[in-house]
Amino acid sequence: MYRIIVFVLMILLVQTNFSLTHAAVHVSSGGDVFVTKVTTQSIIDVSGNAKLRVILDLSGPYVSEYSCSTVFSGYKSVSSIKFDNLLLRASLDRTVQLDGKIADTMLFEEGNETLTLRLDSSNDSFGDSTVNVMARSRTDPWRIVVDLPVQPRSDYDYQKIAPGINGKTIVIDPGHGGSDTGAIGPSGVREKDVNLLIALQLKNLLVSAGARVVMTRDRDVDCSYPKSSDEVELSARVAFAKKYNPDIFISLHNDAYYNRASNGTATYYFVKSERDALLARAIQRCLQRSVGLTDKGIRKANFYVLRNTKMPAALVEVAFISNINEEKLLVTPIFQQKAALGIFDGINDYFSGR
Amino acid sequence: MKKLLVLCVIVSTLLVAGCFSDSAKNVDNRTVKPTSEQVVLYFATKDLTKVVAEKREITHDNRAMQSAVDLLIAGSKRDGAQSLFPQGVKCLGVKIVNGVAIVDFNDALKAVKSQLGSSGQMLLVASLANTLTEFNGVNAIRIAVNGKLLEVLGEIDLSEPIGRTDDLIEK
Repeated sequence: MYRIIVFVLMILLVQTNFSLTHAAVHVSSGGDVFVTKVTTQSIIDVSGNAKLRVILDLSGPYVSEYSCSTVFSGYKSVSSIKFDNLLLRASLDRTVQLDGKIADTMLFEEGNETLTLRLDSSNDSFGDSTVNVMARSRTDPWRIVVDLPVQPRSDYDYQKIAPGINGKTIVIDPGHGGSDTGAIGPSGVREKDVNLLIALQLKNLLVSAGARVVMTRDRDVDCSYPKSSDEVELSARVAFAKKYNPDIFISLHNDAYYNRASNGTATYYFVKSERDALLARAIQRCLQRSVGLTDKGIRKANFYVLRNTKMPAALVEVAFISNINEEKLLVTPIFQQKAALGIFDGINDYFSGR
Repeated sequence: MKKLLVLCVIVSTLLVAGCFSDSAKNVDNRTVKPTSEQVVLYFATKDLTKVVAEKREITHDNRAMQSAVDLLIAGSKRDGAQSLFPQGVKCLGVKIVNGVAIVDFNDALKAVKSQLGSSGQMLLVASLANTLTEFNGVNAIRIAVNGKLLEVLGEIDLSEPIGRTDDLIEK
């Protein structure tokens, strides 16, 4: 009896081995592997994580070793990925000028049975690259996909920052306005109105503490012109901020959703430097404590005003205007004052390094 | 003991059968076109913090990506996951240019600005980008309305192709 079981188990084993060798056939390489085509693509995700993707189409399966390194020298970030046993078709360019959004140039250096892909950037800091070698289907060529993550280097001058709010220049951007109402609450409260009311309270607090405050709008108007596109309107706000070279930029909003149960406070930032997260965290902590709504935390986001301003910036979603309770709160001067005080405390903490 | 033996035989038979049907399928792939294919759609979680994957079968044809977007607009079959597209949104087409899927919608998409705040806008774009980058050869997406590429949707910067946002996927 046992013998039969052993026999059956052996059959199982043989089957497993068979499928293993079968898989190995797919990746075994025969002869030289050439790079036949090179494509690059800058990609950003909705959290604002940017990367440069370089795709190398291959003449066949590639199984050799590769190694990656990133160095930072002077004003340049250089990332190199060295591939063993890889050749570049003679017809392909060895030097490629890129658009400079992420990297300036891409070079291929051919060594003794090695190929090094080198990317140079004078604007951004490269992170560690990830390399995937794959063929997504039988009909697809083998490819090496290199993803090079980047962190933008803001040219904002951080050196001049002294502790405290006194003497700082702060831009407050009340979201929406004029022809753009923003979200509308269940009983008809308009986001643009409560954004402005909270912003005006915040302005008073900051001015009293010695800050120079500029508002992208201080009444119910469009910052560009009525019924402009989102792009034109938001770029007007960014251009306005740039003119005053502020220490920080605060955009004030209220969130909305189809489902009226959604609620809470959140603060968004875009990683231009390590300071963006510090600003968002300080504001979220103090604002949430002050208004006492659900803490939805801080989140990275590819939002236009955060990404395109040079200085540390945060976009605050005080509450959900689509939530019946929070809409009611938002129209009360007491709640508006609490929200403004919370954001003020957060700004103060940020400038105090807390 | 006999029971164990019978079990072993059944298991091994199944495995052998599996092997054969597998290789049969592989042959089929080369000769006969499959009639359906699996897509992975990403819907928003109810608490508006993540997107969650949902596998669905669609007809295998040259408009598979548009079918996937149509299903995304139509909504999830599960509790706790939902579509973020405003009422009346229609996908007018999807085309791939240099690895970027350009998804064209009708005007109704612009309602996201008054109906969805920034958290929902973000997840809407993430659900679309994550769904389409599941397709072979799609690295990123761009969004268009009536054939015109959007630079901004609500608060979101769409001036560059949007890739997968892996850190928003609920595991």
